[in-house]
Amino acid sequence: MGAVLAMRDAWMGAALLALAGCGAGDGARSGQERALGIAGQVQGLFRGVGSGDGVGLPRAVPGGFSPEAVAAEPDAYRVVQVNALGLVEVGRVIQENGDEVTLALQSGPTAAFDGGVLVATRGFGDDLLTLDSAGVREAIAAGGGAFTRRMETLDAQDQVVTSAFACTVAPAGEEAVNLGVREARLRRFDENCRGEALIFDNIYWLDGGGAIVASRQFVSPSVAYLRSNRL
Amino acid sequence: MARPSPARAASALALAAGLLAVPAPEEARAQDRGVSYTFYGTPGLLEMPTATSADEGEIAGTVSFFGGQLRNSFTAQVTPRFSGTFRYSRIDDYESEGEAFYDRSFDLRFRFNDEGRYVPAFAVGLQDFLGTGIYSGEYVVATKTIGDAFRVTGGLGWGRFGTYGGFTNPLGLLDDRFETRPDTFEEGVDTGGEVGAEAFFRGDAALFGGVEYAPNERFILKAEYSSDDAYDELDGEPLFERASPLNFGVAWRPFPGVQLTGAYLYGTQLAFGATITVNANQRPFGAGLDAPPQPVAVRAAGVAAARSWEGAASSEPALAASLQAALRTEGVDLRGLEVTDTTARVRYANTRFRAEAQALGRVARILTQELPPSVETITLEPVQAGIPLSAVTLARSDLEALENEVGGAAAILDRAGFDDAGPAAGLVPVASVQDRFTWGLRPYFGLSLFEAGERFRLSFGAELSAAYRIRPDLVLSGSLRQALLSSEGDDDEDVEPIGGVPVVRRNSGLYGDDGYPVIDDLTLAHYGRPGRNLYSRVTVGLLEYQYGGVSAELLWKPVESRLGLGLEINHVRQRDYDQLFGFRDYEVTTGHASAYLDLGNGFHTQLDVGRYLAGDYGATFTLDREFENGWRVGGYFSLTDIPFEDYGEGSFDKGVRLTIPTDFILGRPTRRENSLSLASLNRDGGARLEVDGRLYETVRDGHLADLEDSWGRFWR
Repeated sequence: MGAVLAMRDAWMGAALLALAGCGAGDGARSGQERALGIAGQVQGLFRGVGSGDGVGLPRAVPGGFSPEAVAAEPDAYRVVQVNALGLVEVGRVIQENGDEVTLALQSGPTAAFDGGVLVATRGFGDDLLTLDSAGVREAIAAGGGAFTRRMETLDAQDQVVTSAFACTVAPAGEEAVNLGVREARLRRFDENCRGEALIFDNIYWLDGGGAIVASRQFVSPSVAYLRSNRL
Repeated sequence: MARPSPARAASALALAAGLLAVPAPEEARAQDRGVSYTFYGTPGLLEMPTATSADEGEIAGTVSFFGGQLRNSFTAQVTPRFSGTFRYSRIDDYESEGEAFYDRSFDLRFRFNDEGRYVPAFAVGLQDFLGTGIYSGEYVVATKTIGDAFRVTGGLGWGRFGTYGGFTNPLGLLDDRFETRPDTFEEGVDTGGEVGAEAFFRGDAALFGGVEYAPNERFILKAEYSSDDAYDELDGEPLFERASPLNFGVAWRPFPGVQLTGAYLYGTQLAFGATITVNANQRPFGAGLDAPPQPVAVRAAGVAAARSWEGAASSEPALAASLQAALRTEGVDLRGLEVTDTTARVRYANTRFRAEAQALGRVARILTQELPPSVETITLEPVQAGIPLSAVTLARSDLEALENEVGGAAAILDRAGFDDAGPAAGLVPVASVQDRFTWGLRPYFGLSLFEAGERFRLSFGAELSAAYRIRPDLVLSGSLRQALLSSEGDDDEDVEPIGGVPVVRRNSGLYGDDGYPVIDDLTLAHYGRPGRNLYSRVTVGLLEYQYGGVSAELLWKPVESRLGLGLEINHVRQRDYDQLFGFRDYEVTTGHASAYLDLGNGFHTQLDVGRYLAGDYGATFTLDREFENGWRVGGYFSLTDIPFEDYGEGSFDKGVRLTIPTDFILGRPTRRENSLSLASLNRDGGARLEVDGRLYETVRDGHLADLEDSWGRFWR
């Protein structure tokens, strides 16, 4: 049963250009090279149909994101907003190691904060791998100051890249801030950071006790700013 | 080793969010901007090369057509200065009216220096240095970017580049020999495929040059003076009228990664070309849209100091169950667990992440959540193909301290211990949750080039594959193919041996040609750990589309070593053309001793010495440039004791190959990869058995060198 197919040579050229074929088997890696001279098996991204391997399981965030859960434990939730990605949602604290708090967003990504300063994100793609928060916290506690901020990201070769930024923190008075369920009068601090290729401005709002209650912090060039506040 | 990443211009979104992008001074080198491709598929003008290079890691595929010549080229910028090109061309009416000529050529280019403020970049190149030599030429070229939009190129060429406006070779001052260029390829006598080195830089030389102007980012206008006047048929008649040495063209880049070129060449010819580029250094989804890992759970100070774990014996099964459930959310299959008061050894199979380092990090995080607080030392043993690959030992306190710390990845790598996997004794086995039986149905597309007797064959069909895991290290698997469309075959006659060499690959076009379903492979494979640093494989059955039999392999590879040594022995029989359960008469024992060496800086080399399918003895040398994100590009060549005349076209077996990890394309974690392999010709010498699941590729993932390469993903 094979149909005769007359192919133009230009198709061969296009086929050479196409990203090539696939190994067989779920989860198994195999690059098949044929001594025949077959250029490749262009299965491309067609995964076809089949059984999975049955290992994966979805992960549930303990507590969930229902309004009842939020109302029951307001301290365990934050409101999170990422304008560049159109996200406005609730995040739940899934880990608390002293000052270090990890938040799971309703849509999947996580964000880790150290004393209110964003130190890592995961799940955005262009994530902040990690950052050195000591300088910011000290400057805020001292009412202002200058320091160097170091941020790590992963490059396209999975190598850790550290960027340094010259930052200054300065108090910016008091203002009324809408925290979603209430309004509060908070002290505002502005942080301006300059690096080799980026400049960004973070904002922190502190309550009377000096804790960061709300903030707008830079993540990465494509995620831009992440706003979060306690309820 | 951290590599500086080029800053990208801020996206519109980022700008909207109030972000200012300040371009770093001299961030992009002058010669890197606006690099466009010629009709030969190399960075340059139109037909003439320049001293520019594409971004490192860029791979470009180009198709171009003019004057009866269709060229298909692949160029890879293997290092910032060195690039290689493979080209397959068709020239119409070359030998006689209506008869097209097919030609393969390989190029190399090396750029000596970066452009300075006043100093141009210089490069040297060899065009078509291997093969029939129709496009052969060598050149030295200099290119200077002027201001933001102009680029000027001038060069001196030999061979084809010296055929217009040529003058006596200036190198003749060194030695008279340089003044004449020998013919390194005699049609009908030579078989091609030999390096024509004795002709390099010899014969007349000529000047060439050109200018480029880029009014904006999308367009580059080009004008060049071409010193190439060798567009001839076999008998010396020109393929087209060459009225002028000047060529004019425009390269248009509608969007990144695509270039379309139109040109008016030699005063008479319209030319078109299209180039698609991909770059291993530009990942479309950043570090990937992986679901986030579990955060590390830090033990309270007092609890960490506890030295014992109450109720050890009765709680171990409960611990295994909860650990297994937690690991499944990461696509990790728990295989074994050994817990004492202060240590834990966990053996697992990662089915999701390309980088084992990432799986290590994810498993480690989950362990900090699940293990009793007294456990301080954690040993992780990754498993693939049912065999443990290594043991990585971490201190729980280090995990707790370094989770979100700058320098944390490097620090934990420093403190990790690497060794061969421990013994099975002591490990409480955990039943695998992986489905025993898996199957898949997907399309396949086969492209066969350069087959003796036909120029190419295309086939498209459906492949049904299935696997049954009798045990994790004992797998029965097979695949069935049905061709749905296939281009016309030449004839179905048996292929005759050449020079007494048995036909082992040249008849491959006869396989699977009958339109019925065929068994591609059907094997039972067993993997083992016969001893420390030793790995074994035995595969029995229909090993590949053309041969069936037994294949056995042994690999010695210590976890921290860059060197691996292997031994493979196969006894196979050639299968029947209907690719079912029958065999033909040819039977052979083949085998190789192999050395695998990670040279560092992303270069890997392999040397195999032994006996090939046709009974010939020889060696294969392979060199790959591997990128840490999983991309690989490389080539190999084989030399055996079959004399060149007996080979038919192409004097020795050679090929190039490219592998792109699927998670790069999709942005989601997966262990699959896509491979494209081009062997330059179909022949019987230097032919190796194609058996799946060879040990080195499987084992190296869990060893130190590969773990280090992608250790940046540990905390990811």
